[in-house]
Formats: sequence, C-alpha cells, structure tokens
Amino acid sequence: MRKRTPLRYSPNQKVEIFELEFLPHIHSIYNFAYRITFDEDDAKDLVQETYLKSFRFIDSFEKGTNAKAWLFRILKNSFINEFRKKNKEPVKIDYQEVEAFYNSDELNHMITSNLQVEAIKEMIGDEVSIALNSLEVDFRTVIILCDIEGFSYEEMALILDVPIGTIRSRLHRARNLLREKLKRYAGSMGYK
Amino acid sequence: MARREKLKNVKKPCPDHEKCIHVINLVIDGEANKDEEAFFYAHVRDCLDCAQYYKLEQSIRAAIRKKLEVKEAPEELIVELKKRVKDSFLNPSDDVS
Repeated sequence: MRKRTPLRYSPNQKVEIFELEFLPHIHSIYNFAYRITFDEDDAKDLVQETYLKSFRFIDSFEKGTNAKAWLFRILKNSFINEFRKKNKEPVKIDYQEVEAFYNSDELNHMITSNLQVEAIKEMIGDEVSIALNSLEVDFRTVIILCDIEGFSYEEMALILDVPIGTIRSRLHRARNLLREKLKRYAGSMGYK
Repeated sequence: MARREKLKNVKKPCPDHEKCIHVINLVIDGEANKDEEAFFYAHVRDCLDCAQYYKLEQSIRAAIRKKLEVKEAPEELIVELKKRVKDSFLNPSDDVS
C-alpha cells in the first residue's frame, strides 16, 4: 500500500500476479461495488476500471502482500475520484443530524431495549439489505468492509485513507444508525 | 439456564454502558487488546444491559454476513479482463486502459 520503488515484474510475472492474486477477489470487489452503486452496470464499470488500474500499476504492488486491501483501495479511489463525480452528486452526510442522533443520551438503552435478537433472526435478507442500503455511503462502506469482508480496522484505515480513530467512530455511528433502521423494521413486524 | 437466571437477577443498570459498548464492539470485531478483553470477561457477561447489547450486536453482524445476497461478478467480465491483460502481454505496446 505504501509507495515503493517499481519492482519491474516481467510480463509473465505480471499476468501471474493478476490471475493468482488479483482475480480471486473479483467477486468480493464486485459485491462491494454493487453495494455502493446499487446498479449492476455501474458495478461492472467500477470493477473493470479497478482491475485495469491494478494491472497498469502492478509494479507498485509487492507480490504476496495484501492484494485484497490493495484492490479495495483502488476501487474506493475510483469511486470517489471519478464515478461519484461523473455519475452522481457527491453524497453529503448531514453530520449535524447524525451528531444529534448519536449524542442523544438514551439512544443505546432505547435501541437495546426495543430491538431483540429474535426480531433480527426473523428478518429476511431483503429487510436487512434495505436497512443497510438506506445508510449513507460512507457508513455503509465501513459496515461492508468490516462485517462482510472482514477487514481489520488498520486495513480499513489504509483502504479509506483515514486514521484508525475515524474508522472506529464511523463504525460506531454506522452501527447506531443501522440498529435504528432495523428497530423500525422490527417494530413493523410486531416486535417490541 | 442457570446463566439466564443469573442475568435476570442482575437488575442494576450498567454504570458505564457507553464504555462497555465501545469494548463490546472491539471484542466482536477482534480488535480488543488484552486489557479490554479482561474488562469484557470481568464485567460484560454478568451485566444484563451489556449481555443484551452483546447478543444483539452479534445477531446483527450475523444477519449482515448470512442474509445479504452476495452479488458475483459476471463471467463475461472476468473473461474480458483476462483477455485484455493477455492482449497487453502479447503486445506490450497496447495500453490496458
């Protein structure tokens, strides 16, 4: 992930790295791209761009290191720098609203007491998906990277290019918001 | 069952729930250090508020991992990427972009 002196792989080595170290992660990369764009064609474009960039800059990748995190970082940069600007208005998070919600004194007690494990177990994939998808992209991203892809906080900090402290607080906020969404579903299902 | 009874008997609200929430999330994410783990085992499992929060967070994580549909990359995309990389290999002057 850090800048290194170009390693100058041979063409054969480049193809080998691409096929053995990069391609095995393509389904995770595609799934993430789909979860941040909500569109199969956009996801395909993002994945294609990510993989072509990975090949173009392959000399800056150190063989045998964390290819998955490296690819996710390229994808995140492509999404922020190009896709988001070209295709969509930048997603802005209303931090004032989030802070007000986050800082409410009884929040955690309220959510814990009103959302039960049984309700979560009863939910189907669509309900969980809608709740996750309704989060702003920055919050959705940390949940996916942590809970689905299993990245450590340190890896997430490298991928998203933010300090670990930001990862912790963003995850905390994302989880509070997700619980609130799930609680609403649980309420609609008759759980109290 | 004995454990459940024990938890039911703990009626006092958690004295420092915010700190516990922070530690519980670190433990579930595998990011807790030894001190935080020790705190977790010494307190959280015997505190009703924290035990509820811990179980709830675990169930949410499990729902996200197991219930969400996983989208797989289309086969034609994989074939196309392999082809473009191989083409640039056979003819290095070709730009993969």
